[in-house]
Amino acid sequence: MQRKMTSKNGITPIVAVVLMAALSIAASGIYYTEMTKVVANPTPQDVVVTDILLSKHYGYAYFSLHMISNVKSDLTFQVSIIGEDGVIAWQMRDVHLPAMGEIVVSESGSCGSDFFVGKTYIIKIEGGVDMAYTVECTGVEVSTGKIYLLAINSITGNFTEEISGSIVPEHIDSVTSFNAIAETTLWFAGATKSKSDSLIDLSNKRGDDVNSTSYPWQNGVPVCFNITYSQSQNLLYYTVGNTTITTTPYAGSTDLFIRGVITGKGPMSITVNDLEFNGETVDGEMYTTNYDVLWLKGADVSCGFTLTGSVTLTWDSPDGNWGMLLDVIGGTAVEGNECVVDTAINPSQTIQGVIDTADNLGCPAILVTTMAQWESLLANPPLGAIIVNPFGGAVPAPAWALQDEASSEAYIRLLSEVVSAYSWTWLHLGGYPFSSVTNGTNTVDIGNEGAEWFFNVSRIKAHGRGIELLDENLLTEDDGVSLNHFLSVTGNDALPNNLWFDYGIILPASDTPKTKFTFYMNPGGVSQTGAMSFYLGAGYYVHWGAPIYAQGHSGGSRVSDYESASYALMVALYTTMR
Amino acid sequence: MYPIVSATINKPTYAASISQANLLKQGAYVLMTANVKNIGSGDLNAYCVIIDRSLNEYPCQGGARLLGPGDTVAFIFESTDEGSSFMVGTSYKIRVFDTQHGLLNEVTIFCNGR
Repeated sequence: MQRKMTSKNGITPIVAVVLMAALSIAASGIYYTEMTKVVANPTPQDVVVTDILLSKHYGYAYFSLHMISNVKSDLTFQVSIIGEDGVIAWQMRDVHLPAMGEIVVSESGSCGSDFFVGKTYIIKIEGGVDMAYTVECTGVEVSTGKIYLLAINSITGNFTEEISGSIVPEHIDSVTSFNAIAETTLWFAGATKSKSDSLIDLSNKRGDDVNSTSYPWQNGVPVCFNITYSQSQNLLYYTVGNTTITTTPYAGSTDLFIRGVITGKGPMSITVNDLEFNGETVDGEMYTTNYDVLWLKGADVSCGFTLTGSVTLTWDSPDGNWGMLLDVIGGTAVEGNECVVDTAINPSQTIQGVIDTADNLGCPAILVTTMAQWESLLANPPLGAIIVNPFGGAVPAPAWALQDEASSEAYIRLLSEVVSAYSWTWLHLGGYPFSSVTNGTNTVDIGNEGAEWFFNVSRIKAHGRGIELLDENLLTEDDGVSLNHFLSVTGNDALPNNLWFDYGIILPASDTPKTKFTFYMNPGGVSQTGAMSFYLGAGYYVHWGAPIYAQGHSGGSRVSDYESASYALMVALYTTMR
Repeated sequence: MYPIVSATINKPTYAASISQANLLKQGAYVLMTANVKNIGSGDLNAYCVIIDRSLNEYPCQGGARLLGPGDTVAFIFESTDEGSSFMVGTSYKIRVFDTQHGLLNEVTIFCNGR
């Protein structure tokens, strides 16, 4: 039976085809839209970095980098170069890379000491796209060894007054010790919280001319304080929170102490932190549950000052009578001779001379400021380090080396072993070498034996004074690495022809340490020299005998410890180069 | 074509690509950069982690970042003292996760530098 085709049956396939076509078109449209959306956003591959260059010439360094953009919009980057010490040596902000354009980023300056020739350094590029590259430093340099300056904070030496004013806080943890150090106490800025009192006060001496006011101390809440002394008004201002009181202090205070005392039993504590003296951060704070004094050594209070910080008192409702007392005390400290180290040279001038010269030569100089850092260096010795002792004959030493002469001997022999095994260069800058060991508080005097322990020889001394002549042979070697050539290419003045040394080393007739270079010689013979370098295993000892005059004792120009340290570092570097 | 079409018509897809990933070490300093692109159709809340062979994880700075479809973001891991945790010449995995949908992508890179 033939079925009759109706108009309805004929339309259905057409509608279906139209619907399918519409669906297809819609799908294509969505696909196109999605694809466009995905590919229109620039990808990292659209920024190309080429031709990265890092080069140094002693203290000077140059960096450049070529960036090409295939992106249709401008981009902005920040380019950083990580130096040898792992921190940013150079940073170029707002580097503008135009759309579909290119740019050469470059930088130059006195950054040579941040890089070593032949080593690779990380370039960090941040912006819409982040990238990291490495570049090898090329060029010329003096040394691949780092210079470590033993600028230990706790050793002030007998040139204290010339060391620029950093404060070295010291804790005193007993009443007996505090009374022994604080010769006089002239004024107090106090804070009291006890079972019955909550106040602040100022007094000339405890119990004398007290200016007191109640203060609502809150448990565990930090409060800012400010103590300002106006010399012109001879007035002391003491502010805690928003409360200020004043007094006229007894004059003559030279030292500041912050003392915290807890009385009674129970959970109580005093915290003092965020200290600033005349706007400079003090590297110290106090937390005590019993008794502690923070002595702000080096804080100059003679011409007026401002001390600020934060105080937090905590208590937990102890039974019985209890209390907390916090005083900032102005007084004078005992000048204990046992704390003054005989350095023979000025440490601050010496340190600055070495730092500036190292910078000019492009050698990284690292300050070792704490005994813990020094001990860490001895425990994990880096190869080829140059160690500069700015304290002359006094050698910075940890507490274990200061117990008796035997421990000092063990320490100096340890130094000798490390120099010998790890290719260190020990630069001595004046005084009798290794004649004492010190941590700034305790000193063990050794005398000539120190040098004998270090060299493992007998009869070596360093007290030859007199005029010495620069070794001409060393100056004029013609193989391109003479001392003159070295000084010339590094932009330094020539060494003086004559120097009057204060601590020439006198060598024994036999059993002499093996000499590498003699820079200056006594006219009477080579057995006395103020400037000589010696082999010590794989390392060197460089003796520099603190020259006082150039061209002779009378009529000669004075050589400062700054200049002396500069010359000394150059001869030490020259020793390691050859 | 299917994921894109279905994403719009049906439900979104979640995917990310990783490009220009670098892990460089310089003594104690270490730097990793990775550029991540949302190649799916749904929003991502993406974060990036470095994983070593002992499965120690080093999350990139900045935590999770919101990425719309097609958006690119750079992840950085930078430390001045964790360089000793990384060994030059050793491979590390860089994994990108979405806070809701888990692992999106992973690449393996070698640590370079010194």
